[in-house]
Amino acid sequence: MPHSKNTHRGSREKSRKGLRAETRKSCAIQSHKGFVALLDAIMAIFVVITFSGIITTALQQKILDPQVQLQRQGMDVLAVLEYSGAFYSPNAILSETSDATCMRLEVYNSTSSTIDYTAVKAGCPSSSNNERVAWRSFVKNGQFGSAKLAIWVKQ
Amino acid sequence: MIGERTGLFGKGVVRPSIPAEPKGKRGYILSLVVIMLLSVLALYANDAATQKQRAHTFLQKQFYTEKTVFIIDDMAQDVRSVLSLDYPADSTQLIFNENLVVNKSQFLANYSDFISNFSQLENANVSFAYSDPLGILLSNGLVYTSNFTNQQIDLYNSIGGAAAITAYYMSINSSQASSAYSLPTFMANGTLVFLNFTDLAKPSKSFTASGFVDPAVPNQFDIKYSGNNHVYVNIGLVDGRQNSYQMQQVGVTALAGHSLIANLTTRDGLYAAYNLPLNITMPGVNFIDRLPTR
Repeated sequence: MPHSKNTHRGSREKSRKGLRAETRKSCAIQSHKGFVALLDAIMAIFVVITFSGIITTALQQKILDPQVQLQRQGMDVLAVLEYSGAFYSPNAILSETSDATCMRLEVYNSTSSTIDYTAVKAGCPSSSNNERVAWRSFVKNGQFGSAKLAIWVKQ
Repeated sequence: MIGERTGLFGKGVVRPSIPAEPKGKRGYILSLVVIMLLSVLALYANDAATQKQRAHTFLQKQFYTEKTVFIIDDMAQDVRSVLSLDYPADSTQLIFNENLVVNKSQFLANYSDFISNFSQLENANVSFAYSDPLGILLSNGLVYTSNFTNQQIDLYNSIGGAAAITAYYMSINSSQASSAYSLPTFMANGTLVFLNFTDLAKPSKSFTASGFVDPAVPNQFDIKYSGNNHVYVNIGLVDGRQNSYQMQQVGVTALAGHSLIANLTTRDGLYAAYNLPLNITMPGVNFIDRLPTR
């Protein structure tokens, strides 16, 4: 009987050890799964943030070339110059425009090849690499002429 | 036993069983969720891009439309140097001003060539048709024509009936010396006429005359020049049209400037354009219509 008691005790011990090993193994698997799930979640969040960022950036980009606004302003200035008959004396009108912009006026003869007159807005350099250009035709003493206004943002 | 779990140390706890899903099915659901999420993002991105493109196209068209208006205004200003019409918003007056020295046929022919070349600088194609006489067509049916070949100016109602005008104020400059003049028979009422004739030559024979004339009969101012030449100003019945206006140089090209103010009985939504069919082509914009006077 003692033998059988010992045998029974031994088998219980073995069973307990086996269970402990199994538990440890199960914990390791669970831990591994958790790590994968965490990695998966991080990647998902990264993908979502990246996509959202790209979309938001695309939406925030300016739709039209901001230089177009300069050309609009140039067209307006040319119209005022023609209405005022001031193509050959434009300084008073050019000085009334925004301080943020620079302008250069060139007046050509009818063939648009020879410059008859040039004026640069006071306090501005004579040219820029980022000029926008607008043109306007006019008639003076029965002769056709054209005016070119180069406009750019003051640096 | 199914549905029975055994505790770690042999102390069993009986709980209702949750059937475990197969691992492949779990992965399939996860993939589906990811695909759906990405699809939503892709749809959102596509929609955003489409809206952006639409806004860009709209603003681009808007800019080219503005540019077209700018070109039209530019051309109107150029043509105004030989013939202009103003109709202030707060009055019933039509104010025609004309340079009679310039050969309008020649001017428009040259201008057509000039503007077609010039418009290339603005990345636009501009062309217009012209023919003598140069005219202005008003939305109320009035027509003003200036015929350089015949040296004649007319203002009449093109849709029949008497022109709806209560008064004509004329101002004429002559660069040659006139010899004499005669006036029409003025009446107690009718259409008011006022003529200011300025003779720039020395000695000057300038004069002014005003009064009412019957719009249903011919009435004539006759300014005489040497060699039996005349400048006639006819008001009333002219060429079968009542209450019309005509200025004619016969045998002489003496007049340099001509200004005519016509007082309308009413003006509702008035619009006026030169008889110059205009064609402006730019990306996304094609304007085909007469050149507006302003």
